[in-house]
This record gives sequence, C-alpha cells and structure tokens, in this order.
Amino acid sequence: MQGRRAGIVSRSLADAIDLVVIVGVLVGIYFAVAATRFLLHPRRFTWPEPSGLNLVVLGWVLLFAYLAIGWSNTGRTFGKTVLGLRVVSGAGERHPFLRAMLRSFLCVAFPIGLFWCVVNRRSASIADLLVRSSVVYDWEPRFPAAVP
Amino acid sequence: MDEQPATPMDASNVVPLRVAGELPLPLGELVEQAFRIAVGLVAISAEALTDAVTQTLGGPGARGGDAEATGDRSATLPLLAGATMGAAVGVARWSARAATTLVRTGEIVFSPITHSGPFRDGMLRVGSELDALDSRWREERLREEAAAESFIRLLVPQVVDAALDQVDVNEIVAERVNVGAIVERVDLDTVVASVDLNAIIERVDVDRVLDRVDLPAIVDRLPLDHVIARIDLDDIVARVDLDAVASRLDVGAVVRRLDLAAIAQEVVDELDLPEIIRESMGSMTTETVGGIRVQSMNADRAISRLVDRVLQRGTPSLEETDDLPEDPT
Repeated sequence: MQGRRAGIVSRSLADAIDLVVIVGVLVGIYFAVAATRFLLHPRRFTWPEPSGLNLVVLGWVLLFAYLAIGWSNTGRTFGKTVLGLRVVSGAGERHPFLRAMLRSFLCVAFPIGLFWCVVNRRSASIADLLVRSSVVYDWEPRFPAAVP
Repeated sequence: MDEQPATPMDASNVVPLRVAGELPLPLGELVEQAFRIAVGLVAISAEALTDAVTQTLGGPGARGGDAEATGDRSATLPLLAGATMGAAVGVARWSARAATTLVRTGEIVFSPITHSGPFRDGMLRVGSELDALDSRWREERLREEAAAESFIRLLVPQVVDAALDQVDVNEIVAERVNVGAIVERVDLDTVVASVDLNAIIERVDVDRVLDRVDLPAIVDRLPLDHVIARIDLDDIVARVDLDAVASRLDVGAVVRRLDLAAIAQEVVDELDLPEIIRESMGSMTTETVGGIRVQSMNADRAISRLVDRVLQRGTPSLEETDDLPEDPT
C-alpha cells in the first residue's frame, strides 16, 4: 500500500491531530501571555480574556503557517507523520513553498473540501485538484536520513 | 730478707710484718742489703740512661742481643756499665763488711763508756724523747698520711696523663699484648651465663630502635616474590575450616553496615532507567502508531469500496496506481 493515495479516514485523523496541535499551541500562547502579564503587573493581574474571533483568526493563521511550512519541507505535518502520510506534487515531489502556501490557504479557508476525496476516484480533495497534489501512504521513507 | 712465719700452720694466710723498733737482721747484712738496693737502683737508672743515650745517637738499642750479635761499637757501653755495676757491688760488699767491723770495733772500744751509768741514763732520756716523738708521730700520722694521700691523689692522675701522652698505648697493646691468647682463656659461656639479658632487654628502648629502622628499605631488599612462590596457598586453604569461619561471621552486622541506599542509587545510575523507559515507550509508540495506520488504511479501503458500490464504479478508486506519484527524495 505504500505510495497509494490515502483515504478520508487517514487524512481526517491526520488533520484532527494537526488541529489538536494548533489548539495546544494556542493554549500555550494563552498561558505565556498570562505569565507575561503577571510578571509585568502582578497586583493587577487578571487572566486574559481574548474574544472568540481573535482566537479563531489566530488559530487559522497558525494553522496556515504550520501546514505550509510542514508540506514545503518534508511533505508532512505532525498528524501526517503519525498516520504515515505525505503530501506530494503531481510529479511525486515536494511542493515548493508558494504552492504549499496556496494549498495550506485552501485547506484552512475551505476545510470541508477535504471530503471531496470520498467521492473522487483518485481520492483528491478540492485543494488537491486545484494545486495538483496528492496525499499518499508513506510509512517507511526511502531516503536514508529518515531511516532510524 | 723476709721474716719466717711464726708457725708453719700460718704460712698460707699470714702476711709477715716487720715490727717497728726491732732489728732482727745483723747490722752487716742490713748494710749490705741497703747497698745492694742502692746499687740496683743505680744500675737500672744507668741502664735506662745508657739506652736512651744510645737511641738518641741513632744506634740500635743497647738492650737485647742485636748489639752483641753484630759486634757494634756501641756494645762497649753496656760492657762498661756492667763492669761499673760489678765494681759497685764489690765496693758495696766491702763497705758493708767494713762498716760491720767498724761498728763492732766501736762497741768494744766504747764499751766502758756505753756501760757506764751516766751514758745509760743519757740513752734512757734519749729513748724517752724518741718515744715521745714517736707517739707524736703516731698521733699525727693519720692526718699526715691523709694529706699525703690527697696530694698523691691529685698528683698521680696528672703524672699518669702526662706519661700516657708520651706513650702510644694502642701501639704497646698491639705489640706486647696477645689478645688472641687472652680471648682463648676467657670462658665466654660463663660470661654469657652471668649476663642478665632480660635486664638488658628491659633497658632497651625498642620504640627508638624501631624509629631508626628503615622498614621500607628492608622490605625492598626482601625477595618477596621468591617467598610467595614457595608458599603453597592451596594447602593453606585446604587446612582452613571455612564452615567454622562462616559460622563466626555476623552477616547481619555486615549488612547493617552496608549503605544499601547508595548502592541502589549507584545501580540505578548504571542502569540508565530513563533510556530503558524511553526505548520501551518508543517501541510501544511505534506499535501503537503502526496499529493506527493499519486500522485507518483499512477504514479508507472500506469506505472507498462502499462509495464505489454506491456510485456503481467498476474499479475501486484506491486501487488505481497509474498516476501515483513517486516518493520524494
């Protein structure tokens, strides 16, 4: 099954893990901001109360950057690494940074486009169709650097 | 010259003493003996003087047979000295006889006078005076003798020192004393038996002796390897009753003295438990992730087949491999 296109379950689980990672980063940022405020004004310290919109915007920005950097470097994010998936271009290569940014933007702005892979014969999402990318099983990377 | 002992029974333990005031010998013998002593002293002095003069002249000693054997001219000196001594002895004997004759003649000639009353009275007075002087001397004798002894006691050491300064005692002993013969006559067993070695040992300061002993140097000189090579350790161990030794061991005390906490900490440090836990967790994670991957892949295929069946596709979508991308480098 190595090299074959991944299905909706694997990709959804990988994206869910990435989402958890981003939520964890947001929580970390929240506590970092709170600690900074406590150190600056210990007597007037109150827990930060960001608005939901700010959190969503910040989460989207972080997710966009996280996905773009991961796909342009190794073709993997943490979630795809756990599930053994890799994002490759139509020629089977890594995406250049701009195309990785475009695919990341499409995934973050229109996440429901992922479910198009269920009905697509080549298991391609909307973003895959627009950027001409694929998500494949790649459990054991063939380049020596990744071999433990 | 000496007086005969009073009885033959006392000859072994009685020292004959001359009683003061008695004249047991005839006058002639007394005078002859006095002359003999004087001549003997003169002879000894003359011989020593002749010997000294001969040596100062660089010749061989006048005493001994060398001069006679060689017929050296210096042998005339002892000859002259001997002749002089012989003449002196003759003169002495003649003088003694002459003196004796003169005294006896005087006694006969002056007998009328000596047997007269006034002369006897005079002699008695002279005798009493002499007795008084003798008594005074006997009273003063002890003090005088004590003074003389103290004087001699001070004088003799100085004289002896002065004499010893002129004499090489070591050379004299080497020349004249047969040390080997003396040692042979000494009964060393008796000497050693009379020595109280225990008292000597008690007087020895063993600590000071040991302080002066260089034990490392002595140990360095010992052939320890040779000694150890001669020791049969197997035989020694075979003689040891290990069961008895083990029964005398207080294992509980040994265990109580052990720092088990420190030992356990050292063992834990050597084991590197974090690395072991990391490796075990890593393997568990790998197995878990592998299981998730397989399960998710099977789920992907199941959903794909379901969708294909619903959409009535002829070929399963996930089975298509015609345009699959290659793995990235």
